This record gives sequence, structure tokens and C-alpha cells, in this order.
Amino acid sequence: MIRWLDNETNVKGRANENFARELFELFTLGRDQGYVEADVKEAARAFTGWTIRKDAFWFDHSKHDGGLKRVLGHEGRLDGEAVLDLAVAHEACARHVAAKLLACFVGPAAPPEAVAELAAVFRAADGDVARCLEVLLGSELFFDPAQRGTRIRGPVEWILWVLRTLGLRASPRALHRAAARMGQALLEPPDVAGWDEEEAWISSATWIHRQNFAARLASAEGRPELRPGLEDVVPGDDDGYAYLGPTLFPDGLGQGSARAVARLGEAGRGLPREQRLAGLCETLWMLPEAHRF
Amino acid sequence: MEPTMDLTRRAFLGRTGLSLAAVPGLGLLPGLDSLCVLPAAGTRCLVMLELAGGNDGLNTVIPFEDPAYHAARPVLRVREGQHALEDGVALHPRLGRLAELYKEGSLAVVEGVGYPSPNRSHFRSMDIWQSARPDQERPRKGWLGLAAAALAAAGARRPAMALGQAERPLCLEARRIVVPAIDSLADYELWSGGGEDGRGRLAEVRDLATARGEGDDAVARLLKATAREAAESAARIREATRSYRPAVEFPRTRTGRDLELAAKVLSASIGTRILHLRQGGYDTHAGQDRTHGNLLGEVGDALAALARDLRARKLWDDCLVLVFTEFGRRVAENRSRGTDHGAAGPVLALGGRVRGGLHGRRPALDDLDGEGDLRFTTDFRGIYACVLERWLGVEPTRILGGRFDGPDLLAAT
Repeated sequence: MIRWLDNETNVKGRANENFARELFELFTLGRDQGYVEADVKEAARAFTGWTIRKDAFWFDHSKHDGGLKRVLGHEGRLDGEAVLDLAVAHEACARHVAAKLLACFVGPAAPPEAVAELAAVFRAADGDVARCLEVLLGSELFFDPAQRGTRIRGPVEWILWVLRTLGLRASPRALHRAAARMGQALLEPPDVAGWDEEEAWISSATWIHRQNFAARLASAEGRPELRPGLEDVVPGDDDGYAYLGPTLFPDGLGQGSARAVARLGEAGRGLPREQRLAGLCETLWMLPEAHRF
Repeated sequence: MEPTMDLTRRAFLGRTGLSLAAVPGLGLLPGLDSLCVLPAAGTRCLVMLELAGGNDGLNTVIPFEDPAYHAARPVLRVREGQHALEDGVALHPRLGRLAELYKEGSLAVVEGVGYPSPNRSHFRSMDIWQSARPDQERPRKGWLGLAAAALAAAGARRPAMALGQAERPLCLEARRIVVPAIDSLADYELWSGGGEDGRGRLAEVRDLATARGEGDDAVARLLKATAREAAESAARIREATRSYRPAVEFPRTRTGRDLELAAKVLSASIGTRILHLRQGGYDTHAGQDRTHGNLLGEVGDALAALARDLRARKLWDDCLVLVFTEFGRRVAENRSRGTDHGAAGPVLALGGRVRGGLHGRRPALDDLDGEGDLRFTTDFRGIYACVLERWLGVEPTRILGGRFDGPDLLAAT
């Protein structure tokens, strides 16, 4: 954060706003929630001297502006820790973190009143995210069937779903490359805000990369990357759908997808099992239902 | 269906439900918010080039005769090598190629472009520029997406594309169409196992899976429409661009490559009218000088190559390039040899039919807003209105949520 947001150049008498601005906007309060430009400028002074030495955090007293500042309605000789405390204690922060957790673990259709409830947990627990997760992951909302399938799988989520539902393994390097092409180069988000997620993952270009990944993985060419092979993880000697269908799609498939799978079964009759499985897996991985969770 | 050219605009405004069959992608009823396409547009193309991160307008179009500029920028000010245009402004030393286009009358510079109550967040301000709706808290549709939807409703098959990026930018979003995004043409090809035979069979199966179904929600419609658009556009675009050979050598930079792709698509005559591209890296809070010069050099040289290439194909007169950014930077440099987020900045327009020269009014350097930023003199929506109405032939007030006037950037034809 310090490097990316230019805080190494944020020193007494020469404040750089970048870190303070994104701290409020992205990581604590949320855009335009409870702070104004003046808060950003004053908070930047509080973070002066926060820098990096030998690849680790370093507080350089000599570069720190110890003067009076006014941030989020509080005045004093505030330092960086004090500003972080003020931000985390702010009502907007509880709502912002609660909304982010709900968007991740429940989805975009989470009811708005859930944000207020989880924000109350965040405040009561003094900003303890683990406690918030404990409550959230044990809630009825989390298990509500109506909230299933409301999110779009990101590249990493989709790739891991493809592999783990069937107990497959592949070379991490190849997976990293594939995810990057689909729009998610791990540890390299497009900017400080991270990825946009949800619908933003889906474009014709990223779809083509997903399709080509599925095809390569299922095909004989992609097989060497896979451990174990598809034939080894799909039991029985039928066309495989009896096992793959419920394993990949416990909630079932929509009409169009079900029809497509049925047609595939017909078309594959008479082909060697290896080829039938490859065609089936490639198709199942690219059904619309495969990209939601 | 042919675009309905014989209707007057007024008559058109009252109509809905133009052409179901012609709407690609989601194919929902155009319904009440159906937009209208005006006569005249023909084959004109718009290339939107986004300089992401907040380009420093003052060091792009430089008021080098203004002492206030030199006072505000003791370290970062440009002292020599700038390319004087007229009236006391000059282009950055690395924009020599653009200065040539200016002299030829192919470059229009609008100074002081912005909007009321400027937001200094990259994300919010970019959303505002891309949606043209500062009144909407979380805009979901883009101004060019809506324009593309209007063109599609009038029969255009693939009116808009995002190039050089895998993500669909907000400005190309609309409810009724899915705009293809092409990161690189070499990778834009569907691959499938099982040989020719297998490919055909799988394609047929996938058609079944992605057929519109009753009860599909918005996400299902997006996934299905994207899958179909990917398959169709991959085949069509590769076919149409196969014979393209660049008429000039494009710079071997990221932006050079992206604009070469734009030239390819524009020369393919596949009906695409709107392109969106982006060049990132303009968030120069520290050590700005060299970074900024390199970025400008990259974009200027690439744009000049595009101009030469399209001119050689006789397409330059049908092309309009708009270069924009989410905000300019603060007038006073910071003490990290950089600049912080600001407000108004210049917009550049290039093309064979732009009215070259300086437009708008230069913001005063001695009358800044409370944050120390330039006050805007031209609302960006005025530029959009001009481009929508007079270049793309799309009625602008519905898209922009009102009437906006702006400088007259286009030569009368």
C-alpha cells in the first residue's frame, strides 16, 4: 500500500494525498461517505513519515508532521495510527465493510437491512472482521437458497471450481496464466480499487479465454496438465453425466442447458469414452450455470 | 431493416418498438426508452481514447506565456521544446506529431473541460465521464452504449467495440446490447477439442445452451448474449481483417498496437461505428516528469500513425478521435515532483473533419476553486451532445439527461 500509493514521498511539509484518499475511499469509509477533501488533506499529513526500509514498514520520525490536524471532526496532533482508529470507528466504515462482506459471501441480492445488521456487529466487535464473518457464515441469509447463483464466478473462482469439484490438479503456472488472460492476474489488480468483479468479469474476450481454457483442459492436448485424468475421476462406464451432472450442478440446470446436455449425449454415442468425457466436460464447464454461484 | 431515414426527428421521438429482429444481443423490447437515430450519420466512426489516471492537462496543453503557470510549477513546468500552437499555448515537447496535425487542421483542442462539483476520485469521476450522468450515484449505462443501442435498433449489427482491453468499459454498457471487447486479435479465436467434427458438434450444443430462455434473469441474459457474441464476432472479425496491411508502421508500443487494431477494425467495413480504447498510467503523484512525457509521446506518436494510416485508406474524413481523461491535475505541483488529483482539463479531437484550432475558454490560473484546481469552462456533455447529434446521428438529450451546448468541433459538410 505504501509503495503503490506513493507514501514514501509523503513527508513533512510535502504531503502527498494519495494514501489518505484511498484509505478513506476504498478501504474504510467508502466513496464520499462521511469525509470531505479537507479530511483527505489533513489525514495525508498524519501519514507523513510512514515509509519502507529494507522491504518492511518503517516510521521515519524525522519526516513526520507532528502538528495539529483536524480529521473526521477530531482535532489533535494526530498521527497515522490515530487516523486509522478514527476511520475504523466511523459509522461509514462499519457500513462499508459490512456491505463488502455481504457482496462477497451472499451476493448482490443481499437485502439492504442486512448491511445495517452486520454493521452493528462490526461496531459491537470493535471492528473485528473475524467476528463479523462468524455471524455472517452462521446466518440464515448465508444459507438462503434464494441467494444461490446470484454471483458471477471470477476467473480464479471459476478455475478452482472446474478443478476442485472433480478433484483435479493442474500446473499452478498454467492456471495463473489462464486466469490472467481471463482478466485476473493474481497479485496484479488493475488499480488500487482491485477488480470490478461480477458482470465486469464477463466480456466476449474473457469468454473466449474461458472457453479455450475449458477446451484445452478437456482435450488430449491439455491432458498432460491434468492430474489425475478425467477418466480416472469420473466413475462408471456410462457417458459420465450421471456422475458429473449432480456433482457440478447440485441445484440442477435450466431448460436450455439440460437440452444441450441431452443432445450431446446423443451425439457422443459410439465414440470412445475418453472423447465423450472430453466433450461433456468442455460443454458442462461452459454452460451459463457454470459461471454463477 | 434499413434505418428509417425518412422520418423527421420529431416524428421519430414519439415512436417505440422499432425493430425487434435487428437488436442484437439481449434482444429485449426497445420499449419506452427506445432511442432514436437521426438521418445523416452514415459510416462515420468515433474512437474514444481514454487517458486513465488523470492526465495533467496543464503540461499537455501548456499556457507557457502565463507567469502563473511557471509560478505554480517551479519544478515540473515545461521550459523548452514545447510546440507552440497559438494564443500563448503549446503542446508538450513529446507531442510534436500532434502539433503537425494541428497545423494541418486535423486537431481541435478544447480547453477547460469538466463538470460542476468535480469529484476527485478516479473511479467516481471516470464513471461520470463514461456515463455522462453525474446525477446517478451508481450509473449502469454508458453514453456510447446507449448510442450503440440506438444504432443497433436502427439496424447496425455490431455498432461498438472495446479494443485492447478484455473488460467492457462502463461507457459502452447498455441494457440491450453486449459490446464485444477484444484484447488482442491473435487471441480472439474460439478453440475447441475434438477436431473439425467435434468443433461443429460442440458449437451446435452451445447454441442450445445459450439460446434465450423464459425466466432468464439479467445475469443469465448477459452470459448467454456474451457467449453468442463471442462466437459470432470472433469469426466475423478475423475474416474481415484478414486482408488488412498497415499503410504505415505503427509504433511498437502498447498504444501503437491498440490503435493499429482500431485501424484494422475501421478498415474492415463491418459496420462498427464506435470504438473505445484506453491508455493507463497517468496518476502521476510523484516523479511525474519523465513518466508523463513517455505516456504523451506514446499516445501522440500512435495517434499520428492512425491518422496517416486512415488517410491512406481515405477513411480519415470519416473518423473522429476524442482523447479524454477523468480529471486534470492540481495546478500547483506537489513536493514529490508530482501533481495531485485536480479538476478541469483539455479534450483533444482529431479527424479529417474536425474544425481544427483552439476551442472553449481557457480557465484562469489566478481564479482557482477552493481546492486549487481549474474551474471548468466547457461542460464535457456539450462535447458529447455535439458528437452524438452531428457525428453519430443519435438524438443526444435522452442519453445525456438534458440539453447541453458545447463548442462546434465539426466542420460543416
